[in-house]
Amino acid sequence: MTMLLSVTDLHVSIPFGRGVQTLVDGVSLEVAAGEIFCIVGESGSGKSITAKSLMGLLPRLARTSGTALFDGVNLLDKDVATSVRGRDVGMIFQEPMTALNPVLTIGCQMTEAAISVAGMSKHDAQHRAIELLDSVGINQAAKRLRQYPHEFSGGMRQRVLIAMAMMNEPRLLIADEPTTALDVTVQSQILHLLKSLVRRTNMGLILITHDMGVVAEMADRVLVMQRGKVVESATVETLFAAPTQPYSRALLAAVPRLDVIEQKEQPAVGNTLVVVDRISKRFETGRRWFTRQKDVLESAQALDNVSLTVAEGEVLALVGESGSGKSTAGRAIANLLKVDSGVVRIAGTDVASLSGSALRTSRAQTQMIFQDPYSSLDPRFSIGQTIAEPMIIQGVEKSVAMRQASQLLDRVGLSKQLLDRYPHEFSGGQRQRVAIARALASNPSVIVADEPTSALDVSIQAQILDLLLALKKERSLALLFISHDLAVVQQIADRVAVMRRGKIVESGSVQNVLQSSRHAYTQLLIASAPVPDPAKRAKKMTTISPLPDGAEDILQEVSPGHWVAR
Amino acid sequence: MLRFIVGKVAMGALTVFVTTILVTLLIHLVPGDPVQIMYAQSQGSTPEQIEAVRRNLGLDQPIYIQYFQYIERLSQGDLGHTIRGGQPVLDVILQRLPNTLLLAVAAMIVAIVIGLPLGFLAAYHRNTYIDTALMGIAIAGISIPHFWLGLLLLFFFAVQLGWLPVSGSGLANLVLPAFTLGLSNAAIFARLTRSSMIDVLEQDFVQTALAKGLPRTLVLRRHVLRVGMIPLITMMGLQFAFMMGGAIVVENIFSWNGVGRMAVEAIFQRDYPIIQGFILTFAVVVVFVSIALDALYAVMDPRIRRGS
Repeated sequence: MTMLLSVTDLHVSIPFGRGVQTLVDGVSLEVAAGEIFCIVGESGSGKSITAKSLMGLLPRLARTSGTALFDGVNLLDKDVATSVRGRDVGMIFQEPMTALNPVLTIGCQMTEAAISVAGMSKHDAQHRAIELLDSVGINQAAKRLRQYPHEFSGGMRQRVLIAMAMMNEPRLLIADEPTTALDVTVQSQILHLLKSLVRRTNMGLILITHDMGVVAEMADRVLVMQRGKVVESATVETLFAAPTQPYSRALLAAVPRLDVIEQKEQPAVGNTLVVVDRISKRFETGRRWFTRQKDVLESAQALDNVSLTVAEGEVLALVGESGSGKSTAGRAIANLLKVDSGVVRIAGTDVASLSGSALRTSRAQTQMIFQDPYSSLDPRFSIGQTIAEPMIIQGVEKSVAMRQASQLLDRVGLSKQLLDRYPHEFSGGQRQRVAIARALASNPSVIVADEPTSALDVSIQAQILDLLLALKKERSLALLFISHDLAVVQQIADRVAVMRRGKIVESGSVQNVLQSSRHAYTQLLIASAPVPDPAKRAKKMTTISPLPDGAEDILQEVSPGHWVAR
Repeated sequence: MLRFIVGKVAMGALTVFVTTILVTLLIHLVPGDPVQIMYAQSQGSTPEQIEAVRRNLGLDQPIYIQYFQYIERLSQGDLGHTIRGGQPVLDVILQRLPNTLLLAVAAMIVAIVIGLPLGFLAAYHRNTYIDTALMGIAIAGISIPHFWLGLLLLFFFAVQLGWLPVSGSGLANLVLPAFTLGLSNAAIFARLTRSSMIDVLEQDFVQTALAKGLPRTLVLRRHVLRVGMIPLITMMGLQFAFMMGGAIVVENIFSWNGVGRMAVEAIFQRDYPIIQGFILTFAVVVVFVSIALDALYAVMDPRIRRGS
């Protein structure tokens, strides 16, 4: 097999303070035509830097050494890279929402390189753009060319970006986490598209990801990276069947799996603590003053008659894609949002009826943990102040609060010595532990955790999930766990409610909902979730078909405790 | 788009409305009897005359009646008459306003032509000595008060070198005041441009454009400059308002015959009708310019133009 790209001993470093920080340390790899080559690693592994160095997109101060031969040309050479870039090597990025220029039409952005670099005529370039948009599954391509990025959804934008990268028929495509920002059903479509493009055009694909499921789904060969170094390089079958390095093994072991059923102990479920009774919430998105029509279309029904319960010592997972209303439901339960109709009762009290000191007491009883531990901690508060603050608000004396803060810090697995430190000195996982300690500070009985592990690496995710489970058991908390990730839900939840467009479409025990799902949408979510096992790859792609818009409204009990919308 | 513009116009109308109230109250905010103060410097005004003037100006009425009378006259294009000379205030202002607008626009051009490229250059070379040097100059530029910069420019270019006239009202006379007013705004523009462009340079779509193989100059021109300009346009509207304010000082230094100079004279002479008219005119001009720039903003940004 002739190699399309061979990288030998790639080093990338940037000046850091007085010294130099090495970001990529001696990476070698080879990619053949028609091959899907995955680079997998956690944050800080240097996987994106490796890709960017091939494209000449590193920050100006970065220094590279080694060779990256493509057609006998060294891509690391600054002058060469610019001419090859875009023509023979294309790249797509993680964030389709920001990767397109908001003020230029799709057509302009798709054709500009072909016109100004490859010298194609405007007419030919547009023709080709229409062809490509068609081939990546965008309807009415000719009309779409005249539209702007904000008129496309995230998944559609990623399709546009893929089509854009294909304009010059690259022989190598680098995709840097192309599906990380997308919903799981859209992810599976995009991965499918990329795969079919590789098969059809025989280009090489370097796919960078942190997701072992994506690797198993897509890769021919895999390179595992950690802290800038290559840990292991193997075919996908070998890596998953017999990883040789401890880090690869640990990484694979940490991946939550939807296809492996774990026997869980029955939770010690107490009284029902949270009762949500038919809550609805509509967001007005930009009321239009001078038009009569569209008024209804402009508002989004975030919650539509949602009912659920959570008991002491129980984990209820709320699952859904972006825009399903799951976070809105969480905020309504935490009393951070006024619902239009319906009632949220915590321990029998309607939270909307409270005010003054009763409201404050009730607030202390329900705490939230947010997705992004980088923005949920005040950077000007020390960790100790952050954790002690809820107690001080509740009237605990400061010295007592600080003493309890240090105990809480200890409980979430951080050293008491860190009390005086500030958030920027902590990693993402440590910050999330601090956020958990803060949530526990007011001694709540209900915790709403909104995607608490989505911003974390998979190995850290496993630790945080374990911690949450242990705390739930210890304090018999009612835990509402909001997530888009079914595998994580399977690991942590006792019961699951699946949300779509503001409605619950299916709910029941984890076994019922995930192993014998009855609703088409739940089945679609399960089928779309990448399975971290290359052996199970083949049978999946065929099962996914678009879902019709359901008009179903009424939940029916199909077996004890298992409700499905009909 | 239409909704966006209508919203801006409504905001502008509100601003002008509030200004009319403040302008009416202005006379009463000054301690003492306004008519007494206005006529303090005049010779031979008897108590009867003062009483007549008071009635004439409607100052013997309750404030809200005064306000309605003011609005009524305003709607007929009557801003009152100057106390000294008795000319219609509107005529006096309209006669001088073009000079001030000319000065402000010229200064704006100086500020844009100098400030934008420097800011862009600094952004492109961010965190290098070029950036540091440019931004150092910019801070100095912002820190220098108009009156001092004006005097320096006068001293070197008019007195020492004799290249430009000291004062007067021809085009050659416009150069020094326009630069005085423009340079410090150029410094502000340079800083704003720099931060706006740095924001854009770090956007993902710039990486996408580079990854497509576009030449760097094209990426900078089409992708960076175009997007980076959008927030700057709004800032220019605000800056224009400040520039109109700065014109008051600069016009006095260079004896430029604009409304700013007129206003200062009126303040010294306690000529309230002129001061009121001046404030109102300023408000209208500033509101008008910012509506125009907001419309331009909407045209440049498809997210607003095509509504989302």
